[in-house]
Amino acid sequence: MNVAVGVDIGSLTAKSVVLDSDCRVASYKVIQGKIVDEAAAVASLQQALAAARMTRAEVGFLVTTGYGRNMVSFGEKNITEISCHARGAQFLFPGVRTVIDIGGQDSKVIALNGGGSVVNFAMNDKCAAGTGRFLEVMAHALEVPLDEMGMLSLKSEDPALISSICTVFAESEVISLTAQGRSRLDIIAGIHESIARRMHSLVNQVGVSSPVVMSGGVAKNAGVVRTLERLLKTEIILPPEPQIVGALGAALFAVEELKKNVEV
Amino acid sequence: MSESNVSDIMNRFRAVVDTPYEKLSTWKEANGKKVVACSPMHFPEELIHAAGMLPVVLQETGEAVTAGFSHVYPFFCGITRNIIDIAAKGELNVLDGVVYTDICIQNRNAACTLRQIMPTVYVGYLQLPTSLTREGVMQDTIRELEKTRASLEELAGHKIDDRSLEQSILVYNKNRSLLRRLHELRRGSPRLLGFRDMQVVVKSSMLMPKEEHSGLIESLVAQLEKVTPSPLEGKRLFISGHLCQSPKADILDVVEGVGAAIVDDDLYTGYRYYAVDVELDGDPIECLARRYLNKSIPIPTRSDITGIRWEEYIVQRVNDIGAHGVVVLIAKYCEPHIFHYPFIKQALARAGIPHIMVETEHEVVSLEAVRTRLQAFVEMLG
Repeated sequence: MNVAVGVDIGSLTAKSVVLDSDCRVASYKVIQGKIVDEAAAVASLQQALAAARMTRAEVGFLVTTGYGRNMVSFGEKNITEISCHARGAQFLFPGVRTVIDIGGQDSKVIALNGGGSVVNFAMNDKCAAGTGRFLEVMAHALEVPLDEMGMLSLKSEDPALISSICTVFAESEVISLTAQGRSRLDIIAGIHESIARRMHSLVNQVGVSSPVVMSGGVAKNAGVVRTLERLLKTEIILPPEPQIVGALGAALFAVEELKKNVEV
Repeated sequence: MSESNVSDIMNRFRAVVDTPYEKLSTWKEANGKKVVACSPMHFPEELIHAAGMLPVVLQETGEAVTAGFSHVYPFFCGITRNIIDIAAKGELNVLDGVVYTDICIQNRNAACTLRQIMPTVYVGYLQLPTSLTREGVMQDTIRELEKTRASLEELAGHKIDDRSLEQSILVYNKNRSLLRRLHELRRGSPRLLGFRDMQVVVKSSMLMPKEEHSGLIESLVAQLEKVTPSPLEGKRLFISGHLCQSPKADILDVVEGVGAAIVDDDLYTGYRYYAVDVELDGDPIECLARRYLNKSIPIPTRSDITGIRWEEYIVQRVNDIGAHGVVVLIAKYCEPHIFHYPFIKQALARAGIPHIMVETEHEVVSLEAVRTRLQAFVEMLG
């Protein structure tokens, strides 16, 4: 039996999803790394295949996506993360009209029509403010574990205003607020407000229609999600594993290619 | 097709376009003629040609701006910062003159700045009207052209008579018609010549004697006409924008590398340069004036109140060629283009034509982000 695989090579993580020809998820694997290179991508692929008890020879079609999709030496086809995140979100939540993806260094908003096709999109341009990198830098500045930032942000009743747009200047602002004795919870809440404002601007470039799904690692941050819901005035649906939505989409495209090859 | 002939011709063009100002220095030594550069877009090069001098259009080079920052703000567009920068480094001292026209505030500032930092080079300024429909605009245009003719005569050391000007207009019309022929060949079969190479052909026309360039284009067209057109796979895209400077070749390669072909354009270093001839049916100065006032492609550096607007023109061109979508290239800090972009966006949306806007910069940009966006756009086209 041949399986279809999608590999999403991002800036901070490599994700692989293995699907059978009925589009059932056989396995998935997320590899975190300081540098995501071919080795990390291969590791995520091999571990996902092992978890599915499959070998590379049984992969009928493999699609790569993400920032490093052209960088790796494997894969039959590469498709952008815009198309793949839309495809993956639409598979998980049929009828989705807006996908918001915030990854390690990039963020994107994707608009889909009623038929599930991408009709518009916007990406952050030349700046990592508002992405996972922004959260990392701030967590480091505040000496707070990254995975605690979101819940802590929800405990503040008076978020501090982080006015800087740039991650580097915002870090200086955070240090300055800390030195002024501002509560850490308020600063953390302000950081999340800043991210949400950035995303709000990006969303407005495309327009928001419900249902809205959020994907990417930052979707695991409840603070960003709740703040964004408040700004967009709409509920945001979260997949159980938001980081693999792109790889899932890539794997779904691989299934389509598999079926085409079988028909031929 | 004799591949080596096309390749040889393209190599001749590339040799002129790479390091253009160094090449001009070599050309001057060999030919003993003066070289006068003009700023894009509207200066009638025929005037310089008629004076027996070599007209060239200022080109943006790939150098990082360093010395120039002493003379120009960082929020000026790429070509302005670059020209001022290389002037400050002495690289434009090969020129005997530079003449500017009014296309935007940055261009006007560049002329003033160059006068200060290149005291040994003649810097002229041709004030062509920007409001085209007011009373007396033809007389004003003719007056300004005559003033410029007089300045160029002083630089050349002799008169520019009408007969010489007519001859120069015919030379330029011939070159434009040959470039249009090449453009039509590409429209029919875009893979015949990559868009990057088409840019090289046009830019080399701006940098070498028109007579020599026309001879090479005739050979190139003859070779390409022998090629059987192959069916085009992939999406057909129209490239719009870059009012006065050439887009970086890397960006164009990315567009054509993501499964699309650039089938038509309205770039200055593209179709706009050769789209319209001077109709030589009277006094040559008046003919040049008429081309500027009535005949050029709509562009937002003038106030074209009557006639078709630029965004409507783009829609027409896109529908004519049957393009699937439009790539709008905006040079960062290009104010006339930025101010006009919302109208383009609305017009394309009304016409149901998908488009993507890519902001380009003089400095090296992250091509991967642009590649992702362009590839996603092509994927979105279905």
